[in-house]
Amino acid sequence: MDRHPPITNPHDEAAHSIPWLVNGTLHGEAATSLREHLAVCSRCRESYESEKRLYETMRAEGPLVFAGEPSFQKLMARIEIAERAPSMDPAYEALRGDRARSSPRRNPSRTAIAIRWLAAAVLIESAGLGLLAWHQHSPSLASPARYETLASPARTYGTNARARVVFRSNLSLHDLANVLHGVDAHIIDGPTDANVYTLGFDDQVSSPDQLEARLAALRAQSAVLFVEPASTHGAP
Amino acid sequence: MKATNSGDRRESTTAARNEIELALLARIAKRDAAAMKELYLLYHRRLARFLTRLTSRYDLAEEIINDTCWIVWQRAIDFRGESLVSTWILGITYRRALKTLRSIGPAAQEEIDVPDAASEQPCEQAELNEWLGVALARLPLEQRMVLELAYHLGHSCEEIAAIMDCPVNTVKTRMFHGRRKLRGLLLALASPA
Ligand SMILES: [Zn+2]
Repeated sequence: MDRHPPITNPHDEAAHSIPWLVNGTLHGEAATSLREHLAVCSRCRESYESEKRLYETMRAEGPLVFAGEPSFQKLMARIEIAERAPSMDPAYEALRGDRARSSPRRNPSRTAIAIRWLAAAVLIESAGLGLLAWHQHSPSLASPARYETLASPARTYGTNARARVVFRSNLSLHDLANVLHGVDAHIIDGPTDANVYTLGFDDQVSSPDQLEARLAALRAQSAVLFVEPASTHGAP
Repeated sequence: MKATNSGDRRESTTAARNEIELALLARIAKRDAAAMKELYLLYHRRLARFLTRLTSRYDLAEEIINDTCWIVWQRAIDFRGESLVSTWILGITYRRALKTLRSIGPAAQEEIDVPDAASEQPCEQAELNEWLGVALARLPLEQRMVLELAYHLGHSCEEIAAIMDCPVNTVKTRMFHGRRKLRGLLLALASPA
């Protein structure tokens, strides 16, 4: 409810202004007069101190950190899929309606060029992401979250090495088989909503270095858009 | 009367941050994926915890962030700097979050009756840490949004009014009632049954 209580005395006025002084966004005359009131009113000062504790608690980052990288890769995969086949993404339809009112549709050829560039850029970045993901998603460090991301541990399948991969969407089954044979990999899971497959490798891959070599081989394939390592429960 | 030093500092920090984000948006308008990534990670960091707390599910938080950033990717080219970049992005986030919360049903927005706490009753830090998440989850959605935007993300009253597309006075009133109710909830949760 949005009732506006009449502000009848300085204490009520202070109660309405304190949060904005606490979060550092109250300025000028309003800030000055509130400070003057706090200097002489112990009740409002107490309320200010209590409010500051609440603010600091909510502001604190805490130990739980959400990794943005896997989510970003999902976004990039989604952009690629949506721009190739716009009607597949329901949000795109709504957006198109808005855009049609404000500006003409983007030139498709320009978009296609941009997307090829984008795929290359993400490919390059995922190389740097690799080792980081190997360490961050080891079981002892894993957050207690119950969701699955691109970098979540995969189901155990004989060996510990796993990779998450997005293939070019026009890939033939024949070419897919060639890619997989080339690195002795097999599909364990997928595709997810973001078209991500989980690959497992043969028993030769038992260390991060060996996995990295297979990932590098995958990245070298033009049929592969994204690659990242995905450790399992037994990984170092 | 002159603005306070901390006010000046915040304004210059906000302006500097906005300049950086404007530059990123200009690159995103030209389909620069590296710029998108930079902006994405900046906002993912800011929004993931807030949205996870709001929806009680990281997968939904991620969906809202990705819906938001997907629209940013599409619309960066149309952004004319009518507001701060953060206000624009948070406005999109807010609308996506409302849509998601409404689609998952009223359970997440459930209201319960608690005694309204008098403002002079302070909350102990331990109680705060332990019960804050639970108490916030029980606030009416609009009040909770204002609290999160003001305290978790540090936005001003005017910025929140722009994000939520409502009058400044409405933001102040929501904040007032939200805090009052939160205090009551914290006291109710912390007192032994
Ligand atoms: Zn007072």
